[in-house]
Formats: sequence, C-alpha cells, structure tokens
Amino acid sequence: METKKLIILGALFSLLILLLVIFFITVGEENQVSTSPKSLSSSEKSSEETMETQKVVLFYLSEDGYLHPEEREIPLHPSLADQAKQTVHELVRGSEEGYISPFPVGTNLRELYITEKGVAYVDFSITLREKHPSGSTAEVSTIFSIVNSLTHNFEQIKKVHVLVDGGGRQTLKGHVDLSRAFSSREDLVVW
Amino acid sequence: MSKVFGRGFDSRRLHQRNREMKLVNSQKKIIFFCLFFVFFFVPFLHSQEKPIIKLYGKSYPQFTRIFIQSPSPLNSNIEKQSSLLMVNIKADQSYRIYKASVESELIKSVGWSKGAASYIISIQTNDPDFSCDVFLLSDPHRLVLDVQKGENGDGKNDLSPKRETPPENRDSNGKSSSFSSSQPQSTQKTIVIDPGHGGLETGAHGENGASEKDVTLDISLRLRDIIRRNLAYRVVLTREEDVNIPLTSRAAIANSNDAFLFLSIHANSSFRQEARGSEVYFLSLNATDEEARRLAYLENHSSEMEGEIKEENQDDIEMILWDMAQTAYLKQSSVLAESIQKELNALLGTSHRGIKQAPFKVLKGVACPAVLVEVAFISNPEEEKKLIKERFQKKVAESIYKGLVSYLRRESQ
Repeated sequence: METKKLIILGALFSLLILLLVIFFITVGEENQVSTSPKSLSSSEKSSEETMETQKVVLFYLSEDGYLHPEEREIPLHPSLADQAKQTVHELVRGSEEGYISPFPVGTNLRELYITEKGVAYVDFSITLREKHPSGSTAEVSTIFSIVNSLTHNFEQIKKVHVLVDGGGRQTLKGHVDLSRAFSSREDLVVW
Repeated sequence: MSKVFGRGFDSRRLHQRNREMKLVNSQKKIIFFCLFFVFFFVPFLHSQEKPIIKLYGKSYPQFTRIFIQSPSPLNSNIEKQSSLLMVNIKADQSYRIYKASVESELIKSVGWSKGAASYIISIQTNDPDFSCDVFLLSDPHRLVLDVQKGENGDGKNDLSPKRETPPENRDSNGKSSSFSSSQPQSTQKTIVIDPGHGGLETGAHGENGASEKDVTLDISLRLRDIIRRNLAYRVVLTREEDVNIPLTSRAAIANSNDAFLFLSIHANSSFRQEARGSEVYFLSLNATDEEARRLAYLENHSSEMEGEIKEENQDDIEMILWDMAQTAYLKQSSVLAESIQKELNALLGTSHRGIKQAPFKVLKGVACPAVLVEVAFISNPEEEKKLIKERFQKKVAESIYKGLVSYLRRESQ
C-alpha cells in the first residue's frame, strides 16, 4: 500500500513539475529583452575585438520602383540590438551606390529593441513622419526598406514594428498602418 | 579572530539569504501554479456552460431591425419609456451577451445590464416618437424588434411578440409590404466612395502646390455623379467637404451603410521623381501565416469563444475582429482592383502595370470588397498638372466607373 501511495504521489509530483516547466517556458516568452546584452550567445565572445566589421545588406529604392540591395560594412557589435541599431543608422544615412533613400533628410533612429519573440521595435525621430512626402507608394517604400533591411540581416528578427517619436502611430502619414508589426516583403525586392 | 568571526557571520547571512530565497522561490512556484491552473483549466471548465445572447442590428431606409438571439427560447417583456425601449429577457447568470454594432440613424445606443435572473437591454432612440413591432422567430431563437419613426402602422403600440416572420421590407407607411422582393430599397446596394485625406490632413503635395485632399474630393464627386446617372446603386461619400475624417470612421461609414463596395480615392507620391501612372491597391495581410490562421480561427469560432472571454474584454475581441474585417473579402477586392487598374492603364498608357497590395489602414476594417485607387502621381509635375484639370478628373472618374462596371459584370456571372 505504502509503495502504491508513493508511486501515485511521485507521479503527481512529476506531473506538477512538467506543468510548471511548460508554464515557465510560456511565461518566459512573453518577457521582453531590452537592449542590454543579456541574451547574447555567440557574438558575445568577440566583444573584445571591436575593430572587426560585419557585412550587412541595406535595401534602397531604385527608379524601377523596387528595392535594391546594397552591401555595407558596419563595426561588429557584441549585441544583436546594437548590430540592428547600427544597420538602421547606416540605412537612414542613405545610399552610397546612387539608389534613392526613402527617408526624409534628418531622419534619426531614436531607439531599437528586440523582443524574445523576434519583434524589433524601431523608434524614429519625428522627422520621419513630419517631413515624409506622404503617398501610398512613398510610405510603402520607407516601411519595407526598414523591414527588409532588418529581417534580411538578422535571422532572429522576424517582424518589425515602427514607432515614431517614442510611440506607436496609426499610420506613417495617412496610408500605411503602423499599429501592427510588419513581416518582410520579398516581392518588393529586385536582386 | 575577526576573520573567523567575519566568515561565520558571512556564512550565517548567506544561509539566511538562501533560506529567504528558497521561501520566495517556493512562494513563486505556488503562485505560478495557481495562475497556471486559473489560466489553463478554468476556461475549459466553464466553456461549455455559457450560452450567449447575441445582439445585432440591421438598418433599413424606413426602420431599424434589432435581433436578440439566444440558444434557448426567449422569454421577454418589453416596455417603452419615452425615447427608451427596455427589453427584459429572462436568463440566468450563466448567459453572456455579445453585442455587435446596432446603432443607426434612429437608434442612438444599445446597452445592457444584468439583473438577478434577467438581462435588461435598453435601446435608446434619437426620438421619443417611435414605434416598435416585435416578432419571435425560432431556429435559432430570435426576438426581432423593428423600430421606426412615428406611430405604428396598426395605430396601436402592441409590444407583445408576434409569432410570424418579420417582413423583408415595408413601404413608407411602415406597413408590411406584399411585394418585398421587387422593392428597390431591398435590392439597391450601396457603394461607398472615400475621398482620401481632408482638412488639416492634406495628404501628399505637388511641386506646384496641388494637394492630394482636393484632387481626391473632386474625382470622388465626379465618380459619384457618373454612378448615380448610370447605375441603380446608392452612393455614399465618406466626406463631401474639406474635412478630416479619421480612417477608422471611414471604414465604419462603409459598414454602417452595409456597403457593397468601397473605393478609396487617392493621389500618389513617391521618392522617385519619375514615378507616374495609376496604382490600384488592395489590402495585404500584414501577418505571418500563423497569425492569419489564428485570426481565421478567431473569426470562425468567435461565438464559441465568447463564453470564455470576460465581458469587459469582449469589446476588444470585437475590435480585433472588425480591425481585420477586410480579410474575408481579399479575393473579390483583388478582382475589383484588377478591373479598375486595367481601365486606368488604358487611360494613362501604363499597359503592363499590375495591381498591388499594401497594409493600408483605411481598408482594414471594411467589411466588403475594398480597393484604394492611386489615380496618378501628384509628386510628378507632369501628372500634377493633369490631376487638377477638370477634363482629366472626368476621364479618371469614367475609367474607375468602367472598371467598376466590368467588375459587376464579372461578379454577376
């Protein structure tokens, strides 16, 4: 009898543990990871050698209406968030190969953070909105230049949520919905 | 000595901290387990026991029809107090109420409250001078309230439910119509035209000063006139003046008018100087497959899930569903976009241009086929000049109209 009881208790206990484990995993996913280099794995080791660079592909607009890739070297940063930040900084600086930059002059990146679920929140200065020419085509170019540049270079970034001046906006400038995160749009790119 | 003492002290403190941490950890575990239980099991325990009372409405030119649907036969008591109609439905606490949009020209608001063994649904009208016909239907059980302005056609205000099918439509006296199927009002569908931007929200600008908001209104008014002249459709504009209407309100105007088609008219702008021609868009599902699947599930199972969702959250769920209303019409929207693109290509000589998809806010909540027409590029000086000319605006309106007609022809086949 005693052993039976023990077995039942043991079984119940292991079930409890299992449920707790499942729960902790699901709860863990909800938590956001800030820009602090906490969740870094492989790239952390190379933090000593800051002079190293890495190649990223930026997407700019061309006269054919499509986004075109442009390779750029950025300093190798230890954290994913810093790499992503550097990439967006480079992107808004404009093309070096004669493509069209779909960003108003003076656009700056304010902040960028990535959640564990792979959503990058990219916060731009108010210039992005205020100086934007508006128009469906222009807005689509701006948004997917950002989205594709981030998702293409960083596997961990699955989606991009664009913020302006620290907050969410309904639209960029009257057309494209900014209330949800974007996935990349390969159909807008010509390689 | 002091070293030893210090170490002893340290280790004691460490012990104490460890114990505290263990205590905190075990407390945490208990809390998480309780939460886990509440989140994962409680909904399942209750999910099958919560029947739903659904409230929804439909607006007709002469009256507003309000449905109260319940899984069990409805036992109701209706009272009229000035401009308020109080419907008392016997139902115990386990029932949940799910309210869709009911508001119309006559109905100001519909609210509900929970009594001890009943729900009280209060219907606030804009005018105390109204009458109400009540019908009871079964399979599913529904209480139908036809609310109309002025006195009842029968001359009396009998609020006891009749067990008969409510008429499809009525004539202007509010009497049941015997020729409902041939009534123009029941067949006359509504096309909603949305002139983009307005007021302080000017949209894009041309080099020579043309504003998107002005061009869109001009073309929309011309398009409205052409449709009215040639087709037996009702046309509603989201704005007829230079005012700003929020994007979500534009979709709401379409939905509250039970729109059959939604056309948002815009003038385009690009960072490319040479960008020209028309671009007709329909909504892109800005979602991964997983998200789309989840939404599809939500839409298909929303009635089953309502029981599991707290009342205060139901509005949010409804909002999310409405936010994605367009997803059900993407195929038709793409066909409509194609028909219009083809006509505009012919007008502007961009023969090979195809339709496009983008996540436009204004299209998301529209519950009918919907497209956004970028007539031409206001950012291109040559096209800007054209866009402000009456002749070109007329041609554009005609092309959109032709596209519309070819879509209607395709859909009716």
